[in-house]
Amino acid sequence: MTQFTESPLTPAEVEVKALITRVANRGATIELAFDQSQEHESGQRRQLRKRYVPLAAVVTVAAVVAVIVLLVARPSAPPSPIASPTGGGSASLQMQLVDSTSSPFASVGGGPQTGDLLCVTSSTCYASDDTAPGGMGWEATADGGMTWRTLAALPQGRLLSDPVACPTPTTCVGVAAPTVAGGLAPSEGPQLALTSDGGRSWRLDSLPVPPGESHATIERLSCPTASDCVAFLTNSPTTSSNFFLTTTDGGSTWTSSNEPAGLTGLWALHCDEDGDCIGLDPTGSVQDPNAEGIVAIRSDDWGATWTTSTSPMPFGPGVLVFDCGDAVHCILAFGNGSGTTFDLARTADGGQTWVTSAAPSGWPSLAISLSCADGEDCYLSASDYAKTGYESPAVEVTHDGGASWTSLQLPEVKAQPLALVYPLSCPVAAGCIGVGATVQEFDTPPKLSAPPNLTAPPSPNNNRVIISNLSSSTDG
Amino acid sequence: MGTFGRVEKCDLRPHALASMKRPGPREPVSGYEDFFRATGPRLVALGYVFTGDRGQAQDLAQETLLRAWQRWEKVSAYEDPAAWCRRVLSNLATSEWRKSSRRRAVLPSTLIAPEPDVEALELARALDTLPPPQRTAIVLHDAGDLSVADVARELDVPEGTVRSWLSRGRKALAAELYLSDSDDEVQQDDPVH
Repeated sequence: MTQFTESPLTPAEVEVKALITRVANRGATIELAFDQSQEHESGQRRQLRKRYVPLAAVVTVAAVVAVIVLLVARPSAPPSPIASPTGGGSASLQMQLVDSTSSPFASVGGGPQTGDLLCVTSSTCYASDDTAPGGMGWEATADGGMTWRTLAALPQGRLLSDPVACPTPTTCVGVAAPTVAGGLAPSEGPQLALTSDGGRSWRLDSLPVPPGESHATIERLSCPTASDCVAFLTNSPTTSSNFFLTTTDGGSTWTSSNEPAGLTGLWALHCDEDGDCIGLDPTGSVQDPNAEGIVAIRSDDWGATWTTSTSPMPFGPGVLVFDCGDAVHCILAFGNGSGTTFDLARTADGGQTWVTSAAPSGWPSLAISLSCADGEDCYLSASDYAKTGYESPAVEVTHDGGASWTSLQLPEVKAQPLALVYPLSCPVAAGCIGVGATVQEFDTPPKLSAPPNLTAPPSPNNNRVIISNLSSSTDG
Repeated sequence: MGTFGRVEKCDLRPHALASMKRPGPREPVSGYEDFFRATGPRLVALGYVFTGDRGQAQDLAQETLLRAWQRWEKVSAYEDPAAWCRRVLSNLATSEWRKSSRRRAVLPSTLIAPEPDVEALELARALDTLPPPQRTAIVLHDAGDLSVADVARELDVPEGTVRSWLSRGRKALAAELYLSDSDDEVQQDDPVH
């Protein structure tokens, strides 16, 4: 272990220290309150005040706008760009093909299924690599999806597996799964893989599970910062209950805590930077439909203690997609039994109350992917499903937590429309990077006129395309 | 507002907070006013070093103080509530850095500043290149005037680790800011370049 002792600062280090002191001294003169000089309100201050308008005012204005929209809207009226209520700008409503030289995404089953996409900024994303042997590699892009590099292999033959969380462009945490003969092996105890250099190197960290929990597996992971992570671990039914593990020091120490009573599982786990967390628990079963629902659990101490919502959202088992943009805002899409459309549910109070509504008229029948950049800004993709496969996709955006939605335009691939968009990953309110499948992917294969050439290499690919409505600048 | 309700961002001065509903029992916000006055400017200063932007510095401090107020009964019982705030602000600053592209894309008007502080912006840009622990340690030590022991205690790491972060961080910052160890090469009139 290297010992660091205090040594005289070099001239450059002295200059750095002096620079920081100068900037801090200037920063200390910035006033904190907004309205101490009411007679002269700068443009900047007006903008800040606008952003801090109370929630009641926002809700009131939104309600009035919604009523007006309902009164004047025509079904055939084309969608118009909407400005984000969180600021003066507007997100691009045009998703475009990313000029990608490669894509880690391929069709792996003729449906939405493909690898995971985790975008940390508008430029940096991590993706599980369907095109890698066994489909178990990971790649990263730092230019919005144009080029991809393969991440370094994990030590000891482990494989990086879901869940994976990347709180910064260079910091990622994920499950380090043991392997046997190239495949995944039974868990030998929960172990995490951590990188702080964008996946160029990894270290392993065995989690200190409580006695008797050595076969627990990590089901959910939320890391809002490089230092703070909350993990949800489950056990086989024959062993004891599930539990949480929390670190607030970058993994040096972990603290375990019990799950709240009655928890049946955890679909979503999202923690904010201040330790507020929310989880969504699907309750009930096919045998007991009366108990079906989504129950939210909330913590304000990094998962050490949890409170359970007393009013679950019904229709839990029919949920199609869900995401929580912060520890109080979540959106879900769930089937309503019609087969022609779906419903939406949203909460803005940590799951204590839910607002449900039908998907807007004209939307495709099936929600495919949902990603929230924060509590207000979410993107949802949907497609129609027919016997021939998926078609007529749409990507919709909300900037008010799901109260209203606007359509984005989607690109074509070689003059052909896309069939579906999955997954979407939206790191910022301004937009997303997504993966598109073309309709040809679902075409019925032509009948063979001759035996297949088994010695030929496999089809080069039916790789999926990268689409984005973000302007990317290379990170780092 | 229910059990899970969250107070929206708002005017956080003590007299304004006193009229707002706070989660939990309605008890006097004992000691918050003094805490606000003593800690607020220091938090803005730290936020300014992290971001180089007046608006973002105010945002960071406001958000931190809001969270302290929401949990004041618990936070005020801590041995050093200001340390809790510094930790929250540091975490928020890391997050804000992650979301900086959003600010540029969606909130350009909030970045209006009468006189851009180039030196502060350059420092913030250079700080962004450091690993978060190094960045936090340097800001707390050099801008927050915390001793190595205090930084170690706040970040819950050994003092040697803090010294390591400070040393490596300053060297990296010097390189990032094109500062040379040769006195002749340091341009005193323009310390950034």
